[in-house]
Amino acid sequence: MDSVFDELYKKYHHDVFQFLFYMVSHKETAEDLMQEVYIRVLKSYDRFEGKSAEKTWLFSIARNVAIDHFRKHKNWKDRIMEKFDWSKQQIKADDSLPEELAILSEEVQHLYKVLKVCTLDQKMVIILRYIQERSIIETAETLGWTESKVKTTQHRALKALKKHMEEWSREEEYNEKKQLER
Amino acid sequence: MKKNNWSDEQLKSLLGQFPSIKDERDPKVIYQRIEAGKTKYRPRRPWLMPAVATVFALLLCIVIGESFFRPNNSNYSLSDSSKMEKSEYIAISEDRDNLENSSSYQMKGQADEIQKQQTSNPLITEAVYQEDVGNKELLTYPIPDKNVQVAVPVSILVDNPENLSKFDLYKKYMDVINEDTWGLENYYPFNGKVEYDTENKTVIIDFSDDLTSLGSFGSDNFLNSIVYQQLESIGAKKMEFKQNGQNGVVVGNRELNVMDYHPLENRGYFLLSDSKDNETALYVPWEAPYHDIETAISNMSKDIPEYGLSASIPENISFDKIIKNTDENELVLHFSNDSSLAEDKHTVRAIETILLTAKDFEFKTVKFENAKLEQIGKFTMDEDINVPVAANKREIAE
Repeated sequence: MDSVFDELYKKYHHDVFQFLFYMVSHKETAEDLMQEVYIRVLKSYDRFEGKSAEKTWLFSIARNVAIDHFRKHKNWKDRIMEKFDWSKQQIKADDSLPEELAILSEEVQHLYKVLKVCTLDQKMVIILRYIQERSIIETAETLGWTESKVKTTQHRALKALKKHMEEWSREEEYNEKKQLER
Repeated sequence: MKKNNWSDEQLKSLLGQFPSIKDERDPKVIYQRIEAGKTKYRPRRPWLMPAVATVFALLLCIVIGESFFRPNNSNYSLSDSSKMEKSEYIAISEDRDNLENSSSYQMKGQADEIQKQQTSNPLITEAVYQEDVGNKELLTYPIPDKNVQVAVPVSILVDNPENLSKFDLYKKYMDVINEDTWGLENYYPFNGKVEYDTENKTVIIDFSDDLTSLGSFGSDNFLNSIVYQQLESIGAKKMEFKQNGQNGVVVGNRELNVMDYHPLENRGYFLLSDSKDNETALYVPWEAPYHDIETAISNMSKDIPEYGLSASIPENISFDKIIKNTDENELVLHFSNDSSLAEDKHTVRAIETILLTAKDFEFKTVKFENAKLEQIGKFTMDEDINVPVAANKREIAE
């Protein structure tokens, strides 16, 4: 096995895979994207000059692979889906929970589904800051952003999540009341 | 009972409970798949089979249905009459359909022809020069590369027999250009309405629900490069963004309402290649401006691997003197004695990317000294060379 791959795998595989998984909410897609990250990394590794940290470089490639995935995915898949009104099936498929999440509380499960409402930038910040528990400085370094951009994005992301969680809570409360009345 | 008010802290605590998702595959298996994928990457497409099946079923319905509704083989089509009003649009899209459906596939054929020329004639130039323009109109479209990392300005020269405004002409050819044949991302036309307020020189884009035309980009410079290039080509001052008729759109971290035009300047040009040996290449201005042309030229001999860009000035070329004659808008570059220029595509690309970079720094001409060669391709090395008007000249079928 290639020594570069071996080293990158040991050092970063888990973090990058988890990042991609929460970006796309689909394990098999994350596996495919992870491979694409390695392909791009290994193709240009000999030209990597070490100006940014290796980890930052790897994440910037992962980020671009994810963005690329969403654009291509949307361009073709959604056009076909929209034409044949298969949107319901699609939501259902995307909403399937991985085993690791299915055993957690209803709130956590719903928050996972709600993560979808965030823009890609917001999602990246949420994953790095709160799921991978990085500091603002580390997140800024990883994404190649300024700290203030991380702060603004995280503020907007939490606001978007809050709005949807509150809507869901109100709906749940209404449904519970209705059931009690019966 | 569920909470009606969620605080940031509660949300953070729930996010902290998200499980650690592991890739359980053996690293050896992953490596094998990477090795296989290096030659060809094919992401899984779970929707493909149902889509193919549905298209097939629909085709079957059309074939069967046709026998009930069309007793003879006349050329009448239900949709023809409804399409008549939008004659111009139809003409363009039908042209496109015909092109794509025709066996010769003329547009792709022409693009392939350029690629062949690039490989068969290594000294062919890729930029657009004033003498190329003549009576034609120059339209430059910024198009993202396949990885949606960099904006590539691609230029076409078109006739304008109907005397359309620059905006109308630009919009017309958004439907005609085929980015795929140039190895770029399918980007035009926009998913929405595009209009022009002549009085205020403002382009108004009203997106439908899908905002993927703008994407969610980590770098503001990327979006700026795209929008400024579009405004520059049209000669507009502003771009206004709407979504479903409402003012403003949210793209990534930005809330966009209006973007004012800023001149595209002080950028250095690099190469975007389809392969490591740079067989064919497009010229790409790096999105962030440089402080001075010396820095730009020095950086152009290094790759930007994160963005898939290669150095445009090869290792065998270096300069020991750069003189800026600002009064005459002339840039003088003196090759070092170590430089060994060859009459090949790498040298032609280096010259052209330097000329384009000089244009970005507002120079009108460039003079190369100590080249030791009189002629490289179309360039006479001991004379002042006029800078091009645009990068990446491509042909389209009309």
